[in-house]
Amino acid sequence: MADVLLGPSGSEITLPPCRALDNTPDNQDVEHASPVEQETMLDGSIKYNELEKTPRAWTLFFGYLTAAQFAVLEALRVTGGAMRYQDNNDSATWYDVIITGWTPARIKAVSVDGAPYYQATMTLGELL
Amino acid sequence: MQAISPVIASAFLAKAQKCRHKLEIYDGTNWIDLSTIGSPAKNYIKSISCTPGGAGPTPEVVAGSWSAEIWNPDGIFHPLHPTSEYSTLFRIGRQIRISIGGIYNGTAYYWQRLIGYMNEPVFSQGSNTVSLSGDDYAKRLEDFALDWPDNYWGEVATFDSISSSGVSGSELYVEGDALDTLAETNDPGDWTGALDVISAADSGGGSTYVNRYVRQLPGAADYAHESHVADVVVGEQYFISFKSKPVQGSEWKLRVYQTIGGTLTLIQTFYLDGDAFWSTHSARITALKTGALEMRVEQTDGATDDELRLDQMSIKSYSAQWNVYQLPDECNGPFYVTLGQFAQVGNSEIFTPTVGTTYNISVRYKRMSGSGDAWLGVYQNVSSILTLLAKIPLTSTSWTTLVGSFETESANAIQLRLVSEDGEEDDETRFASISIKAQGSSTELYAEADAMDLVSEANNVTNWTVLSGCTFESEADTSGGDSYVAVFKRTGSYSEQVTQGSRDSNGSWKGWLYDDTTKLFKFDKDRYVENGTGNLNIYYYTAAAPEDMVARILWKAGYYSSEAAALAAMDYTATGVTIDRPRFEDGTSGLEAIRLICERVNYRFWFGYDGMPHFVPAPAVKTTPDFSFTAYGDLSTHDYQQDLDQIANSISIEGDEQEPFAGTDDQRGTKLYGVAADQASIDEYLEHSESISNVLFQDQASIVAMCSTLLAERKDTKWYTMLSSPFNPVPLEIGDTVEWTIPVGGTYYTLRGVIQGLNLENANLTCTVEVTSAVITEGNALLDGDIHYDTEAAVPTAGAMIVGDGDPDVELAAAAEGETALLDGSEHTDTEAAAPAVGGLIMAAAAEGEPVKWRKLSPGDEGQVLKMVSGLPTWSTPASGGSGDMTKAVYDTDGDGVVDAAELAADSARLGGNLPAAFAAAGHSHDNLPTADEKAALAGTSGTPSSTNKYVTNDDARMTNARAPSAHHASHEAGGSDEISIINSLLNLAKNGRMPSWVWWRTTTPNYDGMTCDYAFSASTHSVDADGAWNLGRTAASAGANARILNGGGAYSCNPLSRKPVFMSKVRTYTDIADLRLYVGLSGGLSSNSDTPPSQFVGFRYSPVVGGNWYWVTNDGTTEHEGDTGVAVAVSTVYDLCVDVADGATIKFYINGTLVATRTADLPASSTDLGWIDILYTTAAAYKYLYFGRVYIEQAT
Repeated sequence: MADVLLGPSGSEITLPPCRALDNTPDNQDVEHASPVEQETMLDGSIKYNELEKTPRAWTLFFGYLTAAQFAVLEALRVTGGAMRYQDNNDSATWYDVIITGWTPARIKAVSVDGAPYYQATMTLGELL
Repeated sequence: MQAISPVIASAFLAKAQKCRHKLEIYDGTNWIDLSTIGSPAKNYIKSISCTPGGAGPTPEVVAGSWSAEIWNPDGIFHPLHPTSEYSTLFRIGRQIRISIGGIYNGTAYYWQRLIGYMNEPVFSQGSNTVSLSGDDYAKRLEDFALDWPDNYWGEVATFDSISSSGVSGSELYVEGDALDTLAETNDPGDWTGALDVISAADSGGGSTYVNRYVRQLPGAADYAHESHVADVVVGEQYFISFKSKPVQGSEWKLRVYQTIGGTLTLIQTFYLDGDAFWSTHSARITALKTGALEMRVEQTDGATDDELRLDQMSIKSYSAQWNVYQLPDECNGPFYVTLGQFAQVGNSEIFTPTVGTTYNISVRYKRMSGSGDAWLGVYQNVSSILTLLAKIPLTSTSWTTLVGSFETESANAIQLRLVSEDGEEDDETRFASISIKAQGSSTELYAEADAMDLVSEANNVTNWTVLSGCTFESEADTSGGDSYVAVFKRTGSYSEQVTQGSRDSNGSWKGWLYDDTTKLFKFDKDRYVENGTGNLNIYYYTAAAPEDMVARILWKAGYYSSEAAALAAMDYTATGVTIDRPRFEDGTSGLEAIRLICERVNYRFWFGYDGMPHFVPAPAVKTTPDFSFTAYGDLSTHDYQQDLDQIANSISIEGDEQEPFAGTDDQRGTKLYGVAADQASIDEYLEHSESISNVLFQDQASIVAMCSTLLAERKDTKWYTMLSSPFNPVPLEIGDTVEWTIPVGGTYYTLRGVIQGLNLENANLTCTVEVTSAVITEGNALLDGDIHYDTEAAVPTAGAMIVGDGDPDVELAAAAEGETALLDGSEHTDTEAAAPAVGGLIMAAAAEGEPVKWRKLSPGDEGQVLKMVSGLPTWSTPASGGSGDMTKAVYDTDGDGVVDAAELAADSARLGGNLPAAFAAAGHSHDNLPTADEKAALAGTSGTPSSTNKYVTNDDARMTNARAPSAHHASHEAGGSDEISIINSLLNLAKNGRMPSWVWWRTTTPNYDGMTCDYAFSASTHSVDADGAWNLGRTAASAGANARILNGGGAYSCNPLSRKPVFMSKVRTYTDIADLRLYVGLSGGLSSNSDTPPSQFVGFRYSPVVGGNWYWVTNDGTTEHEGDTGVAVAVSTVYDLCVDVADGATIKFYINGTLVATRTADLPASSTDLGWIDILYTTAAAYKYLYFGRVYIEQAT
């Protein structure tokens, strides 16, 4: 897999690979925010408002993180604020993003080497 | 509503919108739009909300407010951001403006909705957002307070106060006892009561005996009463004076009464507390009835043996000087009155003099601070009136000893007063000593051994009593020559307020009176006023219109630079109302003041979306709505409700005080008041009261009218609705009229109302509307007998009615074979003979496809007809000839069955259809007839044409055009109507005795005409070209060398300014004008190669080191002046330089005929001899050139 980078501008780091729980490569979810908002009118019709921007949102699932990898991601979360994101699996485009979600968990199943492993879901929202 | 063009109203109701909004913040220089910041631009606005101000349902000012959530993920708005240019953008007080709009036809349109200020920004670190909020321009009004003197409208009149000293009459005190000043006896008089009243020998009061009032029991109030101390007449004034000494105890009082209706009625109270010294009291009273005057000595609370002594009681009639002060015509009554107050300290026991003796008094003092008038007064009671014997002004700011003298008028004790007539708090004067001696005597009479005693200095100020507004204390200070000084210091400022009809602490009326008819102001008779200078300030009202009051408040609050500017900027409707006494309570906020103004005239005030202040009547529903929500589906919510608070069926208004008090006994305390109620409404809804208190209601008529207006507005219940229209940026405002449609019980209603509140969440519009009308929506009868409500705004025409389509759809049944579909959904068998009923109209043939619809024809198809044929009816254009105006109404107007034209043709009485009268002669013309003008010309110009007055023909030999011209030379002379310039100049010279002289270059040497010329060149060349004849003069190639022409013989003695010379020189620059210096003009000597001209000079200078332009220069031998003419010096360019002193005093500098400067100062003396000069210097070791053309000078002979 090509590198995926995230971090404050000028301090981007390569993220650990996104893997499923079985440590196989996993896909990242990308979705666009709804371009419209809507309201139901008194007669049952719908009125729509087309928004100016449709920011992207990325869901990165790390199913199998070592403690060091987990610490890197945790540090990014703590840093917070505006960051830059690049997924070279998709394109070389840099996006201005912010971490909008962070759900870490420790994997209870003990690995053969006895070291702790973690999983985490990180969601990114595009700043437009 | 704001103008929306080119966007149309229906665009806001379209189901698909692209709403946009802006929040701009003013950083002091630019408006920063948070929706487009950075590059590439980002929109940092997360959400925005605003509630604009507007014309609300009541005079309460509806102020706008706003809030917004701002994204701040990169922290650029945070005040601690180290590099962001926006780190100071969010802070309290920033100006903001909000605009909401959308994209229509590909273009973004915005409508500003609010302009105002930012309140406290709140940065939320966790959510990376900033919460902003604030108000519209009304915020400043809310914060602004109308403090004195801005809280009233008027002017101030300043007067010198006039003493109200009166004249006392004979003694009226009737008791021949110890209080008597006339016939002292050892008798306490007729005093009765719980206090023991004893006559006792005590000369301290000034007589042999005094009255002692001794308390017998401790505790509550005890008194001694005398029921007849004098006979008085109702309404008359009296002067009461006596001496008292509180020997023991406190809270002693002497009250003066009269018994009225069996009840003691208080007239005056004397408070007798203080140190155990004798002191004098006096007051002026007015009798309440004719009869006995009574007195009571009273101690509120005390102990056994508490004692008060009284002596020298005197009651005399008194006629005060009731001085009046004339206020101007525009005065509508005093608002605030201040009277200069003396600060004074007195000593009533200096010494007892001998009548008729002259005494000297010296005082050593020093003014420490303060510039107001201060003086030492010597007083004595003369016939019970405190009389000023001598007044010694105290002005020195260094230790000074002043000596004055006075002569006594009675044997009463001499009293002193130190007076600060005007000044401010802490003004201070120090006294080292006061000495009083009889003239010719060395005996010191000043009796006090205190800080001011020359004899026995001590650290106290014995027997001095503070009378008003000061402190008087002893202080160690040797600067005055003794160990101690007495420090006299003001404790308050100069002026005190005098209020209308006010009582003083003794219960006397001490206010003022005003007569609005005569505009005369006066103090109450009981108020004793001293003479003063500029110490009476009467702030009086002048009338103002409510709109002017609003404008002034806006000015004072800082919105505009002046009241006029505020009025010009304001959208207002003139009220036609005048407020006679415009005022507000001190400290009233600007917002509250404007609310009161609005309440007075039932107006509305608000700041518009653009900040413009509006002051207009309450909005009314309009005949054409500002905006229509045409369909039920244009709204997302619709509430319908009543408001209990809206009902007011009992209105009361309390206005200003009635007319100013007519006298001291006029204490009505009543205000203008009006009430109106509607019993029917009370019966229906119970009573709901509305009470208004507003001093701007200043006449009964306005109160009655406003009660009636408000009652009519509010006695009946009203309906209100809350409308929501999402994604709708239509720029509606409070006060606008809107219309909308709702279905109720299967019937559609069109409602109309006035917006009373409005809120915008992003572009989601919510407004509260007062419903003013609700009518059933006009419907259209359908062929099936039903009603179809057309919810569109336009009224449909018959041809536009849709059958088989529309909303809701009319479903048509599918016809079976051999049957016809009917509009009621049934089917009609073609063989059926019966005529179909309503709703059974056949609109489609069986098995023939689409149903036939009534429809409105498309443009261009107008005039088509529905043609019934064997198959389906079809729309077709009628055949030609089948249309037009061939109607009976046109061609057979009398309806007799015969076409009108044919009827005329058949009439035998007519020829060609016309009656004979149609051929009557109507006059005619002939080609050869002279015109009227030609005939008029034959009348000639002189006399009547005849054999002796013939016309002249061309062959007449006398018809020649030769004529001797009349003399007219004067018209060509100077100043003539047809002045010829050359002749003029020549004649003018001759006429004025002026002599012209020329020098010009015809060959390599100059030619002279009337004068000689000297010249000096290192080389020269003669030439003639299109510009004229020239001699190209050259300097030597050494710095400071020159080339020149000048007066013959080098004389500078030809052209003093007194001879009014006019000097002109024509030169042409060379191709090189660097490193040179050129003077042209009239000079007292040969110039040097410097930028300082010769000692006497008027002319031009060009020096590139000073500037690239010609400079005018003058030098009178002492002072050199120069100035930039603004005319640039260019290479190879001809310049006509002229110095014109034609009037002998004014130097006019011309370049190429254009006046470039005028000088009248720092010129050479008129008699100083000057000569003309053109001189070129080289400032480098190089040749420099100048084309010398010609020189002209003229001057008086």
